[in-house]
Amino acid sequence: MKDSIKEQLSVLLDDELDEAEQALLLRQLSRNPELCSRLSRYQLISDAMHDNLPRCVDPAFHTRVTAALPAQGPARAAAPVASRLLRPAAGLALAASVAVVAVVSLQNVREQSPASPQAVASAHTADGYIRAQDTPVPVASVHTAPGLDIYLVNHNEYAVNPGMQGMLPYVRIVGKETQLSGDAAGSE
Amino acid sequence: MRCLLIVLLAASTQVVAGDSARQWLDDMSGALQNLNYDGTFVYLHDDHMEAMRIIHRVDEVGQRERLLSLSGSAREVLRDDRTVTCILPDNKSVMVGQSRPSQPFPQLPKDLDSISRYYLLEDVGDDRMTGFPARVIAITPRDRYRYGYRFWVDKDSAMLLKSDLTTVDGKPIEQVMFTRLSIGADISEDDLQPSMSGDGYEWSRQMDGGKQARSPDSSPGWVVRRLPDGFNLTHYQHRPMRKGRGDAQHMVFSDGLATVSVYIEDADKIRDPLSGLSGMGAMNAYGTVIEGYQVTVVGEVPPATVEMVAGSVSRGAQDD
Amino acid sequence: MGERSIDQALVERVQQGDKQAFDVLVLKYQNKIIQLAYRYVHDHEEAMDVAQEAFIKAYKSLGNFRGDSAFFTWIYRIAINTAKNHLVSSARRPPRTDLDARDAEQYDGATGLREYATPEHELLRDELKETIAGAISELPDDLRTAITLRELEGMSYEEIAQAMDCPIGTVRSRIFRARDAIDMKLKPLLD
Repeated sequence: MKDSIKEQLSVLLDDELDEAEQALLLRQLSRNPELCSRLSRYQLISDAMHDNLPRCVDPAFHTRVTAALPAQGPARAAAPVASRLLRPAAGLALAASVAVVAVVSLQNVREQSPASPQAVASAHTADGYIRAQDTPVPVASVHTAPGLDIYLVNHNEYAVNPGMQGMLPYVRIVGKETQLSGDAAGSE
Repeated sequence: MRCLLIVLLAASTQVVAGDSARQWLDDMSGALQNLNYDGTFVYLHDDHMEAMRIIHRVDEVGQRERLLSLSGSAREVLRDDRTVTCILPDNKSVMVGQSRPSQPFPQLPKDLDSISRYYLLEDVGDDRMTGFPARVIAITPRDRYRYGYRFWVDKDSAMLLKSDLTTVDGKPIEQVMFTRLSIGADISEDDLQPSMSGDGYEWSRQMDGGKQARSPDSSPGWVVRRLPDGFNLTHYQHRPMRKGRGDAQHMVFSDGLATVSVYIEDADKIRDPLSGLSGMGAMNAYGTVIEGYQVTVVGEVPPATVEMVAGSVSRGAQDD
Repeated sequence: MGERSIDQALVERVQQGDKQAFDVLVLKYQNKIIQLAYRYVHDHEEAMDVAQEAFIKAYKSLGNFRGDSAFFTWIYRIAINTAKNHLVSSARRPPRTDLDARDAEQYDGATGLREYATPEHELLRDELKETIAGAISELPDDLRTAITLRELEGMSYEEIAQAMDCPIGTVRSRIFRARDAIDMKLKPLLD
């Protein structure tokens, strides 16, 4: 093996190889396993000097990885969030705030009538789970009101969420039975 | 491997209870953000029980989550590091917003230190939950102006199993409890996609908030004179609440754990102003009119706190 | 010196379908990633499995790599998440604090705890370290200086040329010859 190509390996490792040389060298690496082994050993020298050698050294590791790579190339892009959703052809209309939608979703679920027995009949209530009214606070009754939801949704974005991280605000939104109301979105 | 375990166990018994609580909370926060999990949980509040499923995956592009309702209609929320998409089949709408970086649980030592001025952090001990051995961590407020928390944390993965939001006396107001949970397994792309196509739905996009000056010097012209100890202004915005409703001044105060929002709007522009106390689950609100302005205070704090704060809002400069 | 870092150039090649370019990336970072995985799973075989999985995940989603951070930082994060999920799915607790990428560079590998290691593997690592250290000490001064400035001081060729008061071509040659000399002693251990 010529010194000149071995030297190029060394320069490649130091990130000092110019682009023209890079292309050529990479092509040769793909044809020459011995060149690859040498590169791997040069890297090992560097790792040893930095004390980055794992306890188990396996110079053939990279071949094992390459062998396990899928046949097709890397994906162009991951499926975006909600890719299954059919997006409208036109752009998205701007809404004043997320509350526009939430108005409907949060509309007064806290009915005056007591919840049906099934709703809370479970071992969970044995934990001492109670309604907010039972808190030792001198308040007649606490109930949802129309017009509350817009503040709740907005405020939710700022709440610190020790549990569930960012999802708890959405748990509160998703956890509401939707009620179609006369107060259609955006009509205020 | 055995030796390793013994050494670790020995080390852990020396840890002080408060430090231990902090460590568990820190680990829990890390688990919620870094692990793959797929579980069904119940969300209890105000006499209602909702069942939901959450799927969370971390991969090379970051975090992705899907939250879907299992009771009633199939509402879903999908989230990644950039976008939040809320799908509401009942009114055939899809709302897309910017993914707010999830306010992480205070993790920095200094944050947890300042919180311990107002809350007692305790490692309460062992329990079992959802079939996992769990550690119970309590955050108990030191006064009646705040709510507390109780977490059941899986001892192996530090994953959250159950959380209670409680009154100062420890009674739960809101509960999230996993009834089934799988941790660490691979999550398929299919599981992260919504179950509906949204065909024919109306789409809308959330407007960005107005300027977000954090400094109190942006003089909203109003001052909040009574706040529980430790609550400081963390955000201030001047932004429209809703189309056709005019601007609201919005101040956010926090003690590091609880947050309270104060909204001030022109009372004439509001069709259904809040008056007095109302709330939902752990969130309480108080509405009143002061000098022609609708003042609304909202937060995960007891009703007495929002009432106190609302009553203390007046014109002036926040310099006292 | 190339305008873009070699890593960025390699990533782009992989995105265009060049698997060999990915092989080079693996070669560059395999030891660091295996070592990182080991600190979580404390088992050699499993560390390699985790590392392999991490590289494969990285490959599959390289289309999404935006290049706004370094490739190493990116694969590092993938490796940590892979290790943690491994631990958790086999009912073990992930360690308390994440290892910062910066700390990992300085971490000397000694944990103070007894770790399970098969004798042959450990022997090889120690032998490699000794051989390399020995070979470096036997290098002629100019070669040893050149490779030390490059590896331990992290200086660029340009900076080394200034420090050693010689042309860049000479720097390039000296570093190569240092590596070549060390490699002569290394190769028999690994074949």
